Amino acid sequence: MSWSQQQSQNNGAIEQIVIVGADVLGWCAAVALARGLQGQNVSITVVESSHKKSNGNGNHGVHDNQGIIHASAHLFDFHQLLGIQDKQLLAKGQAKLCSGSQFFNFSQQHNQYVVGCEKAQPSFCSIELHHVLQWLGIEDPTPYSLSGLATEKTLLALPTANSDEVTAGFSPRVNLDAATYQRFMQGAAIHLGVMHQQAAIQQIDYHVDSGFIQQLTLTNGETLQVDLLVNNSHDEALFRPINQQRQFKDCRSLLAFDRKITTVSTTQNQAKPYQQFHATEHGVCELNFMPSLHSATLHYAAEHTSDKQAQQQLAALLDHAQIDNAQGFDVTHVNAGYNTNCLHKNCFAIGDNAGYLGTSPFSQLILLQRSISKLLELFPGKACLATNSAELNRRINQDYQQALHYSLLMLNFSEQPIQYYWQAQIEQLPEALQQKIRLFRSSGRVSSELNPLVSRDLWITMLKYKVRDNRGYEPVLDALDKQKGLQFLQQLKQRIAQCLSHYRPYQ
Amino acid sequence: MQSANIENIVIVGGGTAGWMVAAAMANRLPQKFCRITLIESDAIGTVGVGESTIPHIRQFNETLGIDEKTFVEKTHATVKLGIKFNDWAAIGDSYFHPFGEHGEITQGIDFHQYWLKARAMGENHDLEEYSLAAMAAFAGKFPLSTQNKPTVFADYTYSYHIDATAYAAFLSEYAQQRGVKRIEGKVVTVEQHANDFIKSVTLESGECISGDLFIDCSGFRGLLIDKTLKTPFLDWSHWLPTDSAVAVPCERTGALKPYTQATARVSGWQWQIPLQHRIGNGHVFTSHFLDDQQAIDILMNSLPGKALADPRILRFKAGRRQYSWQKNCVAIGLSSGFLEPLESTSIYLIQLGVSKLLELFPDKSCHQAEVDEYNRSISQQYELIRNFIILHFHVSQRNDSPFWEHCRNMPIPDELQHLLTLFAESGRTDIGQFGVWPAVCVGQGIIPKHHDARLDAMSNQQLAQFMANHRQKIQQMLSTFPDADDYIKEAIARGAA
Ligand SMILES: Cc1cc2nc3c(=O)[nH]c(=O)nc-3n(C[C@H](O)[C@H](O)[C@H](O)COP(=O)(O)OP(=O)(O)OC[C@H]3O[C@@H](n4cnc5c(N)ncnc54)[C@H](O)[C@@H]3O)c2cc1C
Repeated sequence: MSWSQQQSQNNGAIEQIVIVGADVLGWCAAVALARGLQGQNVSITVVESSHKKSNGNGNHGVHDNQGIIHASAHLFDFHQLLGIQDKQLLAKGQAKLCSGSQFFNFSQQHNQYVVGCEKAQPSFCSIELHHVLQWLGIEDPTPYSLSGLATEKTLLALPTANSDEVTAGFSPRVNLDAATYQRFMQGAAIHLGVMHQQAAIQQIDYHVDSGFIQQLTLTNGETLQVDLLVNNSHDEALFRPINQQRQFKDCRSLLAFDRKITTVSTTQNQAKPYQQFHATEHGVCELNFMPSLHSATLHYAAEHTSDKQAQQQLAALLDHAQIDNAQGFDVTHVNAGYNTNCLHKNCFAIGDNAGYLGTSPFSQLILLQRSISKLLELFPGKACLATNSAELNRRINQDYQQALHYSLLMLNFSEQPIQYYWQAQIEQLPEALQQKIRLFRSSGRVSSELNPLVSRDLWITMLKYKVRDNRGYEPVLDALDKQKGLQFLQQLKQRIAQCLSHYRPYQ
Repeated sequence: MQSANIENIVIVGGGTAGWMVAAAMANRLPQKFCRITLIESDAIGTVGVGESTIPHIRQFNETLGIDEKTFVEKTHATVKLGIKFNDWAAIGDSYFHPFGEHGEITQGIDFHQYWLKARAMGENHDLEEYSLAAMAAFAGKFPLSTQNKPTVFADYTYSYHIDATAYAAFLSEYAQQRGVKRIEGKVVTVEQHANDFIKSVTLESGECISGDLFIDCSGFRGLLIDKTLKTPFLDWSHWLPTDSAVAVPCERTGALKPYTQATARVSGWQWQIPLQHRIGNGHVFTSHFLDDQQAIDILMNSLPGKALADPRILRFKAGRRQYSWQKNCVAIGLSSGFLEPLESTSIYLIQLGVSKLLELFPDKSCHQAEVDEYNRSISQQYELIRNFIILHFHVSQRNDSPFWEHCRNMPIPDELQHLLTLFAESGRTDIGQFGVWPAVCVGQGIIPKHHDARLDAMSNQQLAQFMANHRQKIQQMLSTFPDADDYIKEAIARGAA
């Protein structure tokens, strides 16, 4: 009965936390920990990661903090937790709301579509809108999506907090200027008493028996005691002794891309309220548009596409999108997958060290923020008790798994015979995702889970566009009056038109 | 387009399950959408037990538009704030499993972590002294949830003890008023289509009732899901070894205790459930370790009042159908599975079964995607509850009988093992689980080895003050609550006015 054989260990309160890697993720982690541990006798130090470039095994290179970070609405939850005022960030243009994503060439039948950011949409006789559309044989959901239309028309869609289902029914995502956001977080961290060592690590001492990280020696000669280390380092070799003991869930068979090529361009062009994804024979390209800063990344597989071809492809897309002034191209090697034990011994892996799942609305930033919240929920003592860590890792894994599934649905899944090598038909997807698609296809339904990364509304919004051959709807609708249903839609359209007429242009 | 809509639903069985399903469906499905028929046999009757519920039943009533007054009056209900477990950890011990957590979560740290630290510091107040529900229960009071809402203990909630037969009768009336057709008679044969879908059932009278969707609420018989469709049963009796019960009502004596009592016995346990007009009693036991007469004697010798009927023996086996939904047949109630009645979860599982079915309501072809999703979510709930119940039996220091030896030494599911270790090590729980784990784990004698290390930042004095404040707040609130008996009387009067 192992539950009753727990040995008491020295599990005193953690007093020394060191975060390695002073980039945007490192500073976010610092703020979250400093906030979450307020009132505790704990010192938090951020140290630089060494600046060695990845040798091809790691997932590093151009980092988020040189471009644009696109984040899902989870960011606002996180800010709220930290007491950060979003208004400040938004007012200064350091953050720009995004109300949708445009997809190009992902489907032969629907070669362009916009997916808004709905949460609760208006319902008809308590039946969800997408069922009603299906019932009335309306194939394109876009005219009924306020956020989608606002996106298409390049308007600034602001959700309201009032009870009007139409204007309250969406939750915008956000584009952040990574460099500014990092400065902002760094400022907040310093304000909360986090220390910054502008030196890299020279030596790591491990505890002989436990293998815990005990002490760091820095290039400036200082030493730091460590109770908990947050590993956001870009140097894969640095913590190899511990990293080698982690279990890695390899996702390369699902996400074929092992390279990304990125460029940013300082431009006179204006910001746009959407993110763009282009499907190409070489892979998936993602474009983000901030005021005077645009970024473009192509995700591709070395086996199919040379770096040169990738660069040409990206250049062609930039050309097409009339973005000039690209500031050089940067190729990064990536490995799709995630660690199933982010907290191992006293070392907590975040960012690329925790995992990499290609592109999705759940950027590294969002995954990090959720992971830190979970860490605080199950905050360890000095002993980092094994079962507690196991439970924490299990919860973090659920997020990674969902992020993976959502990305696969959004980008890789194709209903039609596949056009590009990186696309996947339903049989090639993980079983749980297959079941989601089958259920939606069968009757437009989506099940709900407890505190998921991907909410039910997010799934519905994406499934509506990705699973167009759905056959069913809520059967009870057949007992209702179709005329009334059509009227309801007519009224909805009018209300949406009204809202749109009040929105200002995005600039 | 979808295939044809369901036009005829046939519910076989008119126990609590059958009528809950009928009422929920009649409430949700318009009459012009489909016809609902329920068949029940007076000759066979119902299982006739099942009086303790959990708070979800309030939501069920609310959805159906049934107000508290009507419900309390019709079902002779009393309020329930939790379960008091006697003699489980060891003979002479007791603890309370309340609805709702203890204390308040403060600075993101669960309250029981503070309690653990205080305990390590030498304080000897029980965890339940910090549960509003437990303290009100012991005082025979009812924490009013409308005025006077105890916001500091916000997630406090409550449930009822009910006369389940009366509840079924009430729902029967409700359902029939909304178009459900009731047929009295015994189903003798079941006819199937070539694809094994159920086509119709034929009664002793010769009447044949056909349908597109069949709900098997025939109780332990499992007339459709088992006898007809031969759906495998997953036997969990190696984890939940009780297989029999003897039940008897008795006169009510004394003021209302607003909680269920579950007292561990030599080879099982005994329930006591107070209603307005009587107390329900039962002794759940393992026939392998105890014969019927011994079981009856134990029960009859410990009744709190005069017996109102002869004791009745019931048999069961713990486990569930591998698939609650097969073809065009959905099993809800005892036909879909049975867990120990220890945490009063059966009616909740019925409620879950019907609400999931309505959420995934099929058309005539019953697509596999809906069926799979239904079965997945039902089995998940069964397993959560199963693990929580096993915990009560497994974590005990009792060694006074072969039954308890068996329970303590039996292997348990891996998931439960993990959760128990997690709690034993650091007092951590998973909010996705069923039940209030700290109450039961601590109550059964698992005192975590470590409290949340972050509390080291709090001085002993600060903590002592913090704990004292909590106790004081509860005492203050208690003085403003009515007696549980009065609350029920007022609830009935309130509606009548
Ligand atoms: C000892 C014990 C204690 C319990 N305590 C609780 C508790 O405290 N809380 C709780 O929530 N649950 C409890 N339960 C469970 C609860 O009793 C049941 O979940 C609930 O009563 C539902 O039963 P049912 O409707 O599925 O079956 P039943 O009540 O058995 O109903 C079966 C119905 O099917 C009909 N039927 C069967 N065969 C035929 C046929 N051939 N033709 C026509 N009709 C037929 C019968 O006439 C009857 O109407 C307890 C169960 C047991 C055994």
